[in-house]
Amino acid sequence: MLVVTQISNPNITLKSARLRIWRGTSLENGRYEEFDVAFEDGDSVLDGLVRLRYSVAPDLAFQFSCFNANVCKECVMMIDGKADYACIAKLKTGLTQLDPIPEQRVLRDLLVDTQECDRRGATLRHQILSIR
Amino acid sequence: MEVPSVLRTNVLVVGGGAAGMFAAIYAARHGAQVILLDKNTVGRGGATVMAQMTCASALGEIEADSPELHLRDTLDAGRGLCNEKLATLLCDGSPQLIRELVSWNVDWARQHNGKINQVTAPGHSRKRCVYVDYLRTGAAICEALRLQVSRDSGIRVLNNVCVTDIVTRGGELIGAVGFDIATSGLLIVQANAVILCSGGMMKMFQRTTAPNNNSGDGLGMALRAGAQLIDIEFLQFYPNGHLAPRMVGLDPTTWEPTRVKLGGRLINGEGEEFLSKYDADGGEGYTTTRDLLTHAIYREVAAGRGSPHGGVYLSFQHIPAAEIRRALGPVLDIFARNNIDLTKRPVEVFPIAHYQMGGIEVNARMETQIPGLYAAGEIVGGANGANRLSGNALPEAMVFGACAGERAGKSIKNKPVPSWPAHIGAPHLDIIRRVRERRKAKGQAPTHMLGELKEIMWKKVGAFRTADGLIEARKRISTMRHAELDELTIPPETIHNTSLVEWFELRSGLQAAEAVAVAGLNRRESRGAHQRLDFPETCDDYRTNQRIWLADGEISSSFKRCLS
Repeated sequence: MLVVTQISNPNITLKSARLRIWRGTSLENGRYEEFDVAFEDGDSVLDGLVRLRYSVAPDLAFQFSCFNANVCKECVMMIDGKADYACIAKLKTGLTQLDPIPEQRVLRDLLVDTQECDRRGATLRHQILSIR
Repeated sequence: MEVPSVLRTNVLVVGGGAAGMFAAIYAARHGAQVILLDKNTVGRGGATVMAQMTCASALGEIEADSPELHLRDTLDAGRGLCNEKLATLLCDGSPQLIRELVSWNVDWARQHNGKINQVTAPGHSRKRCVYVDYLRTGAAICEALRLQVSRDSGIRVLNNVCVTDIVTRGGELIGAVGFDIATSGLLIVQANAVILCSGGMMKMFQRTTAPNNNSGDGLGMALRAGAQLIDIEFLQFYPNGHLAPRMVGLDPTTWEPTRVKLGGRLINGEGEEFLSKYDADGGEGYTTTRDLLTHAIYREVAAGRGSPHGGVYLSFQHIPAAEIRRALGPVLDIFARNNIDLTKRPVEVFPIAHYQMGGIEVNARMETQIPGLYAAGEIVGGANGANRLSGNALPEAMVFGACAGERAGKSIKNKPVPSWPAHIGAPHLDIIRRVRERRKAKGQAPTHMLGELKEIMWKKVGAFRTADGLIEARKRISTMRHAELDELTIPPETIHNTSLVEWFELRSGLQAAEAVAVAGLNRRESRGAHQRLDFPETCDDYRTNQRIWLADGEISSSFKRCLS
């Protein structure tokens, strides 16, 4: 597993992904920012986001906890227009667009407010994602 | 000037994993009003939800067993340093809570005859570990506990709150302060009791299984409030952490139950099995406890016999494909998504930071030295001594959480919630204000310092330590703590400011990290999970426990045998 802060193995071929990420605190008031991130085949979108947070974009807001196991269900977002878990979706060369999930109040960047759903005990993230 | 929100309750539980949720349930059961909060979402954000397979409990459903036997195995694994009272509590209390979870609809895997299935795990002398299925044990426990918590009108749940300090008056706890992460708004919680269930500090290692929140918050808060840590140098490095190829969708610890269940072979870069060189019991290494496995793998790699990514191979190629499929079932599909075909190729594994054996010192009632301050779960030190048995972490969280909740709930009896004299919380709130309002020119962000700290801990305070490495680590961490932390840039966001949270994680995490470096330096021997390359023998003089506390902001320590 790659360490978060550096890619240190000289034997591995590195590729570059461009992430186009929605940023802002309300849908009316945001912009897209693009970042290039180095990756190894198999790395997840979440790996890329964490790598950005530990380097050039330390205040990029997204939610995650378990990092690898796809069990906390916190990292759901729109990836190229389709809802998915960032920890499972894989990085690819070329452009990948990341947006917050729709119809929820945006808190910041890729973070949405799920308190209402959490209070009702609903599993919004599970409803959006009928797979996995 | 902003007025803080003020909440009043009998019991504040900090951290919403198994320990925190059990603490809240049991405190409420004993009549307390409870606030249960978490930096993320209660019941989703910590380590419990990730737990795979093993939960040790001397139920005796498959073969004769007893809590006394479980205790003996725990004490053996702990290499002479267990707090025997805490270990006894863990072993005695586990069966009852497993059964309570049955009543809360946790569907433990069962035999055809209806008995709860129990399997063995390294270090256990009996088939003792229960599970829900191959992947979901932690998630199933969390789901059941979330439901119980949500049904209890005595428990108020708050998500996305960062508690920053315990507040005391005359040496007694009166509550805590922090901020609402969504708004950066200041928060005061006036309480009769606080139960710290915020988990371990293992996020502070570059290569770790820890979830993002386990940064040592509670350790720092406890130290600053005047409590003591015990045996904090004992941090567990899981031997078979997944290394390569990149695997997502499964926890990196998945290989231990897989290896044990199927009989995987550990092979070095030269194609040889090597465990028997290091373990007297050797055999095929299935009973080798974690510290010996970690040692063996590190040694092979250090000797230049590692795999391409710097680990060792774990191979299942000698096992018939049909047997692999039968044993692993749907997990194979997750492997396939990650281009892992166990019939064709081995994976690479290497030790990975995993769990904190040491921690806050408590008595058998989960009380710290500060009246009103309790701790439960991974954050507590002593139950598992120098090395934890596989499967003991879930019972530790559950049993200690229930115990702390019950004790805190009972101790409240008719006591009013303390009101705070004017301005008593001011120094603690001022720290949040100061950090929040910082508008520095571009400089280092908290994640940059976090990255450096994780690298220092991994390289110099990791599974194998030396005096030079520990001294360098301590020096650098001390500089970061005293001189650089206050120079970090915090962007001027009020809404969900992750840098603000990370600053406070560093404030406590640096204290915890320095404590580990100091403790590791002081313990001039190798025992269990603490391995010194310069002191490779276990030494009877050190069959004793080490306490750490803060004196004028500096890490201080002393050795004294824990009177169990």
